[in-house]
Amino acid sequence: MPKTIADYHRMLLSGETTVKAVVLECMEKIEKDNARLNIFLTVNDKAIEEAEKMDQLFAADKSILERKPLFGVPVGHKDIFSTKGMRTTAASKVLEEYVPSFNATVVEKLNDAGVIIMGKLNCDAWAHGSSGENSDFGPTLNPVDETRVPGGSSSGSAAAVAAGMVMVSTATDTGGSIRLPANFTGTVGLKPTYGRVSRYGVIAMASSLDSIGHVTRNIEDNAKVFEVTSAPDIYDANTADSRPFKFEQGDVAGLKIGIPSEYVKTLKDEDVLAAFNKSVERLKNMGVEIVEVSLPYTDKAAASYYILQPAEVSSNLARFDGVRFGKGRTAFGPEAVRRMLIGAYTLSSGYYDAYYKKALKVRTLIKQDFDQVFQGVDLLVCPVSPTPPFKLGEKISDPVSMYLSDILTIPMNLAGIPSLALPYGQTTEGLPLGFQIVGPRYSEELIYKVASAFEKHE
Amino acid sequence: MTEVVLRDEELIKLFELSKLEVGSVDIQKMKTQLSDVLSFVSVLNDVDTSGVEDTAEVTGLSNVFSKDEGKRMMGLEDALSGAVSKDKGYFVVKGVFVEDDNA
Repeated sequence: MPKTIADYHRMLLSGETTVKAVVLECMEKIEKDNARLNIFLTVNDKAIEEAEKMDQLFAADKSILERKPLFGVPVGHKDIFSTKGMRTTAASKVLEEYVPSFNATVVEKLNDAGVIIMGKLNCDAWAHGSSGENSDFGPTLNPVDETRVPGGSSSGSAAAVAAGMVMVSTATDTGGSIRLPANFTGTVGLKPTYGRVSRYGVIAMASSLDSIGHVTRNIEDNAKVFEVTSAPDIYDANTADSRPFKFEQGDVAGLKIGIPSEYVKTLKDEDVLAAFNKSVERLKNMGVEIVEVSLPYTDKAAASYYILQPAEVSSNLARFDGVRFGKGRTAFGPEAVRRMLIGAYTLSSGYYDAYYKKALKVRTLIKQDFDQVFQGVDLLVCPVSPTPPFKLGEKISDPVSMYLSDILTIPMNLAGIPSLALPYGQTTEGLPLGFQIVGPRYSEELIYKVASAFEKHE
Repeated sequence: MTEVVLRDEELIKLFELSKLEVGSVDIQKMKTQLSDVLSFVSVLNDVDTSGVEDTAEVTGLSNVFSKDEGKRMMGLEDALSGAVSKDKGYFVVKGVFVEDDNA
């Protein structure tokens, strides 16, 4: 498989490869490994046929690569992205037989950019989870170490890229669901500014928090996909302020990057700490000024999130009535039931003020923490996960311990700000480690600039 | 952190509010798990939020309107395509007013 999309297009032009060859390679990996790794829930059996058509289009007009920046790129969609004519389950038995009659806006945009859809990717059901173990169709295994989770909820998205089954996966991040699996699989995952990418056609989890992103093997591919997805969309009113994204590379010396002390001082895992410190050293060697900063309300973020998110979930899942689509509400899995019940509790009269309204106010405090810190620094860097990828079954019996996997990613969702997770370092056992680059709303241009310089730094 | 202990009746009421059936759910286990989560989130009680506004959404946008003109629409067949039960272009639903022998 070509290393980058740019390499791929260069190889198409030079005749070194064809779309069919690349898609065949992906399909072979899927055929060989998917039953074991449980990454794809639905595979597009027309992918090779579509690849042949694309090769014909390319042969007739090579300039098509200029009009279609993701031409021939094999893509997987997290199974909450509506794909016209292709089953979309949200990894839930409720939608086991549901076939959408329309495409999500992001699916449509990627199609227009020339991708080939390899299929639909497993995830925690309804995107509820941090490990992939809440899927109604069995967990996805981490391709790097098959006894461990790939992270969630975008478990299949990250695993598909790590396993070489696709070049790009779409995914969503509501409390860390792109960044955590990217971190656990050694891939690059973007959580964009909330409202920068259209949520239309993506099965809603928590509507004020859902951010639509993607996973790739490297920074430049990730940026290329973002150039396609970042735009206003009349079908998602929250994108009214959105704008196009343009990838810029350049010198980042002199930038001020903050390390939030609250994110580091609670870390107990030596491997995570060591890798993070090494990444900070590398940034310093790039000429970046590192500053210690404070986000005092960090330790209240998870509590605020686990009030607001289930409340929004209970509202969004109310539409699954088994009448217009899907099976009835008895088909919901245990985690979905738990979250709907918590939402009902915190929204009910008598508890609404103490829980839901309180959480809305704490959300303001968390957002203000970031607003204040960004007066003094350009970006932040911090770890993504308190631990390296954990073992299957390790946290599944205690919901709260699973929720604590997200403490370093949740605050960015509450504040609506972007963050890019990139890999760096490994544990002594060879497990992936990494960190995230966080910025103010609409600062992705700067985030990618730093990420690219970091990736390329000698 | 305040310990929250859900009562059985409260749990049953939550199922009703959520239009979910208790079915084969282990009530005691669910009660414990929910109580754990509610205890976990009750740490917010200690936070001083006097004078703090709510943040319900982070974009700062308000009153985003679109032009009152035709957008792409879903046709009847597409709209009905996911339905378990349909008839003459309608979704079929369970009766609301049904004969009740006890009435």
